[in-house]
Amino acid sequence: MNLNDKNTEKYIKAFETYFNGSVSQPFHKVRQQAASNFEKLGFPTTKKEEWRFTNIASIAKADFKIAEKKNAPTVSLEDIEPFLLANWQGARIVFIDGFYSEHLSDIKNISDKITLEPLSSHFEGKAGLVNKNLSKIATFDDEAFTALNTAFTTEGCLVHIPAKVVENNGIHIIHIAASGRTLTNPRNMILCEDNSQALVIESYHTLCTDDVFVNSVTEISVGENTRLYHYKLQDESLKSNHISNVAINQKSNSNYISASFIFGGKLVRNNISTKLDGEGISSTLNGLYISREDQHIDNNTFIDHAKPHCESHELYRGILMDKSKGVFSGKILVRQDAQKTDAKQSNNCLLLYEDAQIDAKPQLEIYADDVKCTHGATVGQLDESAMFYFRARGIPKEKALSMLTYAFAEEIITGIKDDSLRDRVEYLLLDRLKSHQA
Amino acid sequence: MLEVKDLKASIAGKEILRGINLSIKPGEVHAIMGPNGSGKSTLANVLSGREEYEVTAGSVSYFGDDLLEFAPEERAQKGIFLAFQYPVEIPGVSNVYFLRTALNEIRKANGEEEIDAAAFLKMIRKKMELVEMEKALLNRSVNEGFSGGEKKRNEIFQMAVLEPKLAILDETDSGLDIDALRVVADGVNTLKSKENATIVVTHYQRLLDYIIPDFVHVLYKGQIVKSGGKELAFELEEKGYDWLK
Amino acid sequence: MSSETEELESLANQEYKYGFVTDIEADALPPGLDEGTVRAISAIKKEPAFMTEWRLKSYKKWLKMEEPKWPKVEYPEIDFQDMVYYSAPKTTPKYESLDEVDPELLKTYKKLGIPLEEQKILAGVAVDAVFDSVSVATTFKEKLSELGIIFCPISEALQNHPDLVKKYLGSVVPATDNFYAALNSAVFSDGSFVYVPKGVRCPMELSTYFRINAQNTGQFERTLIVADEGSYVSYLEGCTAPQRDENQLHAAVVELIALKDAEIKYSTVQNWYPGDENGKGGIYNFVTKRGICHENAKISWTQVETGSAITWKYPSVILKGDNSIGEFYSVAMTNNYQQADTGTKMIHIGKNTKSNIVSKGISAGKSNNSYRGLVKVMKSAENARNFSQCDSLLIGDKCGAHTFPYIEVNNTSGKVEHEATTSKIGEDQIFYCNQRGLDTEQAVSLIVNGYCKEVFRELPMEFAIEAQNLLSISLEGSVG
Repeated sequence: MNLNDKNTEKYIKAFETYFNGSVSQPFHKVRQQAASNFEKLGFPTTKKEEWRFTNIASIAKADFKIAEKKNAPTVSLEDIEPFLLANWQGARIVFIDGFYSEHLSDIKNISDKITLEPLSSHFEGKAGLVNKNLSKIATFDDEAFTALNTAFTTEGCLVHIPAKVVENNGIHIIHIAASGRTLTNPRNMILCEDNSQALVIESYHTLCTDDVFVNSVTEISVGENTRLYHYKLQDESLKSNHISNVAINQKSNSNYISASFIFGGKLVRNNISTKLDGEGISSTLNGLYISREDQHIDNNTFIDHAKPHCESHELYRGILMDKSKGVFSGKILVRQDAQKTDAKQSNNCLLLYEDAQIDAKPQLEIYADDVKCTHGATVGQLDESAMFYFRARGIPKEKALSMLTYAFAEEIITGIKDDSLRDRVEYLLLDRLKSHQA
Repeated sequence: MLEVKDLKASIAGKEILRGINLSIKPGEVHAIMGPNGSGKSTLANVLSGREEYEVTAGSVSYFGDDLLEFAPEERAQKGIFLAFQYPVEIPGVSNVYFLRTALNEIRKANGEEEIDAAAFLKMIRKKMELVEMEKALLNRSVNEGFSGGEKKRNEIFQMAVLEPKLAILDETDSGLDIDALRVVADGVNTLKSKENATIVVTHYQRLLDYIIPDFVHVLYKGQIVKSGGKELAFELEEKGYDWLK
Repeated sequence: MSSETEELESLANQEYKYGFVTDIEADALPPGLDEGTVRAISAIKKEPAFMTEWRLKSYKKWLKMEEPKWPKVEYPEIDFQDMVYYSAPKTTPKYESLDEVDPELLKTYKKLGIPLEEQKILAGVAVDAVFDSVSVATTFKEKLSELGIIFCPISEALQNHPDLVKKYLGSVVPATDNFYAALNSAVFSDGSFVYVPKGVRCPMELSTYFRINAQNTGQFERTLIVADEGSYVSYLEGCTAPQRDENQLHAAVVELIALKDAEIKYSTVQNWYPGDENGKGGIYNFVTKRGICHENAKISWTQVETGSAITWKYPSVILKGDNSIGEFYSVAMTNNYQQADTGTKMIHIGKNTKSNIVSKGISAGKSNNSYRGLVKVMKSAENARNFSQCDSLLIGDKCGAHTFPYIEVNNTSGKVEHEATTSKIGEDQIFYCNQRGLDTEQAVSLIVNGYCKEVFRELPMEFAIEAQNLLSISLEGSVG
C-alpha cells in the first residue's frame, strides 16, 4: 500500500537467509517473532502521533544493505583514535558495524566480576542471563525499529554488574558504522544487579563518507539500591540516519542518571523510556543537542511513574543553527498508585540563526492526586541585554555568542560525572559553535 | 483556661511529646523554650489540631471542654490562634478577603452578626498601624511573595483582627531582624489583656526581652523538664540547653 | 402583539426542563439525516438559495468525514440517524408558577444569585407580559441600531443581511474543518449574528440582552461575529444556571472576525447538564470556535466550563495581521464522570503577533480533564511571542489531569514559553484556613477560586461573581 512496504519486505527476505546456522539458538525464536512484528508494523509514518514531527520516509525508501560481519572493513586503532576519550581510566569495548572487534577493545581497569563481552557469547546454551532478559525491557510489540533491530541482533554488547559490585571506573562502548549504504543494528544490554554501581558511556561514530542507517537498541535494568550513570554521545557524520531506542527498568530505591549528547546525524530520532517500577526511585534524563545545516534531531522521552514516592528530572536543551530542525516530545505518565510523585520536565531551545525550526510536545498524563508535576518549554534567542553587556565590556560579538551559548548548555555539561566525557562534550560544543562562525 | 495533662503525641509513628503538663490562666504569658527537635512546634500544632500529629495519650481541656474533640476551625472559632512558624502562601486569595471570611466565620460560630465591608475596613486600618504593616500588603495574595518579616507581621496582624483568647506564637521571632522583632513584640504586648493568654514558643531568649513572660517552661525530648519565672530564660541564654541534660 | 413580545414569549417558553421528556410535536422533522432533511431545514427557514447550496455541500463533505478519535474522551457511538434535526420551539409555558418547578433547581438558582424573573425564564415558567426586561431589551435594541450594530438571530440575518452572512460564514471555520463543523454547517438550527460597524464601540455587554432574549437555540448552534475596522464588542454566551436539555449532542460553531484594529472579547460560561453522579446522561459538547485577527486586531476568549458530560473544544485565534493579539483564559472544572478535553490554538502568521494562554483545570471525582493546545509560529511571523500557563489541580485520587501542549516554531525570532504544573490542593493551605476558622469545604472553595482568579478577572463583572459561585457549587461534595 505505501512506499515502505517494498523495503519492509526486502528486510524480511534478508532475514530468512541471514541466520543460516544459528537457527538452533533459543534466541532465534525471539528474532523470528521480532521479524514478523516488523513485517506487521512496517516503518512508521507521520500519521502516527509519535512520529508526527519526524518523517522517516527517506530511511524507509533508501536502499540499505544489512551489515554482515564478513563485509565489515578492517579498522585500526589509529582509525578510531579520534573517538577515544582522553585520560580515560576505564574499559572499552568496540563494535564495527555492530560486530565485536577484539583487537580494538581494551577491557581492563574494571572488577573481574563484571562481564563485558559480546552478547552472542551467551546465545548458545540454555536460559542464561541474556536469554532471560533480552527483549524483556526493550519490547518490540509496537516499536518497528526495535523489532527490526531485534530481528537482526547478532553480536551486541553485554554489560553485567553483579550484585554489590561498585565500580568507579567507567565502561565505554564504542559503535562505529564503517560500511556505507548499510543498515547496522547495534544492540546493548546493561544489567545492574541490586546494590551495585556503574558508569557506562555509549558512543556512536562513522568511518565512511556514504549514507548509513544506524538503528540501535539499548536495554537497561537497574536493580534495587543501584546507581547507574549512563551517557550517550552521538557524533556521527551528517550522512547518518540514526534511530535509537533506549529502554530502562528501575527497581526500588535505584538511581538512574543519564544524559545524551547529540552532535551528528542527518536524521536522528532518540527514544528513551524508563519505567519506575518500585518505590523511592530517582530517574534523571538529560539531553543536549546542537544541530546545523539540515540536521533533523528528534528526542522523544517517556517516563512511566508506576509506583509511589519516586522522582524524575528531565532537562533537555537544544541549540539550533542553520536550517536544522529540532523536535522534543516528552511524556510523563503518573499512574493511579504513584502517589507522592515528584516529576519535573524542562525543555529549552535556543534558535541561533534564521531558518531553524522547533516542534515541542511536552505532555503530562496524571492519574494520582498527591503529586507535584511540572513541565516547562521555552523557545527563544540569546538575551540581547546580556549580549550587549558582554560587548560593552569589550568581548567581541562572536565570543559573546559562544560564551552565552555555552552558558545555556552549561548545566547539563557540568552534571556529567566523568571528567573525560565532560571535556569531550565541552570540546565538541565549542568546536561546533566555532566552525559555524568561521 | 487551658489544662494540658500528660499529653503524648506522635507523628508518622514517632513519639515527639512524651507527657506534657501545662496549666494556663487568662492574662498569663507562657514561654516554651527548648532546643531544636524538643517538640515545641509539635505542641503548638497539636493544640491547634493539625491532623498529621496523632495524640496517643493525655488530655487537653479548654474552658472545660475537651479541646482534642474539636476540628481545627472549631478551635479557631473558639479563640485559639496559631501564628505559624512558616505562614502558608495562598495564591489568588487576597489578604483582606481571606481575613474577612475568617472573621465572619468566627463571628458566626459565636452567634455574632457578620461585619459589613465598610466597618471591616475601618477596623483593620487601625490594626494595621499596630504592626506597621504596609497597606499594599492587604490586597496582595495571602503571604504570596511576602518577605520573611512581612509574613510574620501578617500573622500578628491577623491575630489583632481575630482577637483570640489563646494565642500561640510558634517561633515567631525566627528570621526577623531586630526592628521587625520589636514591631511584632509591640503588637503582641498591645493585644495582651486580662482575658486572653499567650504561649510564646521560641528557641532563643531574645524575643523574651520584648515579650515578658510570666512563666518559662523548658521542653526537652518531649517533656517539660523545668518551669520557672522569666529569670529561667536568662539562665538558659547564659548556659545554653546543655546543662539540662 | 409586537414581534418583540412574541419573540420574548417564545423564548421564555423554551426548553429548560428538568426531569421531563418532551414529546416531539407535529412540526418537527422525523429522526434521521439525508439530503432531504438538509433541504427541509433550509426551506422551513426560508433561506436564500446560496445557503441551501452551502448546507448541501457541507452535508456531502460530512458524509466522507470521520468522527475525530484523538481527544482523550470516551463515549458510546453516536447514531446520527437516530437524531431529530429540526423541531419548532414550543409555544406553551411549561409551568404556571415557580412553585411547580423542581425545588432542587430553584435552590441552585438561588445559590447562584439569579434574579427571580430570570429564574422563571430559565425554568420555563410563564412570564408576566409586563416583565421588566421587555423594556430593557427594547431599549437595548434601539440603542444598538442607532449605532448601526446588527445583533439578531442568524436566521434573521440571512433574511435581512444575506450579503454579510455570505461573505463571512465559513470564512474562519470552513465546512470541511472537522466532522462536527461539517455537520453543523449542514444542519445548524440557529444562533446569533453580530456586526459592529467601523469605529463603533459597542456600549454594552451583549451578554445581558442575550441572556434574556436568545436562550436555547438548539443543538447545532451557529454564531458569527464580525467586528469591522476599529470597532469593539464584548459578547457573553451561556449562563451559569444549570441548563438541561434532552438533546445529548451539541455541536456548535462560533466564528469571529476582527478586522483591522478591531477587538472582540468572547466570554463563555458553560454549565450544561453533566450527567448524574454515576455518569449517566449528560450533554456531549463538541464545539468548534475560531477567530481571525487582521492587522492590530485582538481576540480574547474567556471560558468557564463546569458542565457537560463530555466537552471537546479549542477556541482558537488565527493571528493573520501584523501586531495582532490572541488571548485564551480558561477554567475547566470536572467532577464525577465528566470528561473535558479543551484548550486553544494560536496560529501566528503576522509579524509581532502575541498570544497569551492561561488555562486552569480542576479535576474531582472520577473525572478526566485534559488541556490540549497548539502554539504555531509560521515562517512569516517575525518576532512572535507566546506565553502559556497551564495548571491542573487534582481533588481526590480517582481523577486524571492531562496536559498536551504542542509547540511548533518555524521562525527563529519567535519566543515561546510554556509552563505547566499539576498538583493537589495543599494540605497546609487547607489547615491554614481551618486554623483561621474556615471549614474544609469553604477552604477548598476559597483556594480553588483563588487559583482561578486570573481567569475570572477577564470575565465581565457580574458574571465573574456568578462564575465563582458556580465553581463553589460544582465543588460541592467533592471534598472529604
